[in-house]
Amino acid sequence: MTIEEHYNLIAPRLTNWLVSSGSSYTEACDIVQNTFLKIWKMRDDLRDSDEAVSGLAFTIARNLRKNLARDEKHLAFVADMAQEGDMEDGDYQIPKDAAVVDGRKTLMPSDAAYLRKRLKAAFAMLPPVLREAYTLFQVAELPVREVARQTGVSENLVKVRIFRAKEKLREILSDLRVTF
Amino acid sequence: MEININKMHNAVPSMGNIQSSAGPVPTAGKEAQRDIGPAVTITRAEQGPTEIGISNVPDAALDRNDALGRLISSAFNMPPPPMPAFD
Repeated sequence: MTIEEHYNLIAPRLTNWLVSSGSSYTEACDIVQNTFLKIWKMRDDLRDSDEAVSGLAFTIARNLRKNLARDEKHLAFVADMAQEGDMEDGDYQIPKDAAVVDGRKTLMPSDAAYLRKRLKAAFAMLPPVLREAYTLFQVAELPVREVARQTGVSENLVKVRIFRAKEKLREILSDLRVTF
Repeated sequence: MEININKMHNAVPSMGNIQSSAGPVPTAGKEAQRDIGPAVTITRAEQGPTEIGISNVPDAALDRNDALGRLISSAFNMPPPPMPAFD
């Protein structure tokens, strides 16, 4: 696969994962582009398998974000939320059709931005190890094996963390009119 | 969290993983009260209490397309940034 093909495959998942786990969209875009520029520089040493490049991309992106967070002395999502002012009580009123999931049929939320804020806030309330395992699995669509490698724990523990994260999310998001 | 071992005469199991440079530290029973010599500082393991596993995680827990998963996928569906120039 070419670097462009890898980019088309991985960049959307990486962008969404970065946003879901705390970055602003602007920051996520910067990290994604810088990640692939680093991969490009390492191209001669890469194994050309989708999983190897995907794993490398997530590792680089995580490190880039850690460096940013360390530089800024706080997590990006705190600033992001403060800027948007979405911690005001009034903003937490649920739009009537923010999210409706009926059986196996999911209707697209009319207000995806609102839903993203709610989900980011819910993710932020999870213990870090649960948040990391679940967002890597669900949003980044990494296989359990790769989540285990990224987080340095066993596959069984990753499964347990995903299970617990989902339980907590259902509890946190219980006010949304969604049948989980 | 740092604990001075000299003040820990009645350590309890609920304190979680406790490690020291001298090796594992007993947290209950007579062993916990033995004289271990000079004061040492022990710290709770970084990860906190050991996670208790669930022997059989239901397959449904790993379904990305359940209602919660579909809700998340629909919310986080943003376009990636333009591809940088690789040259």
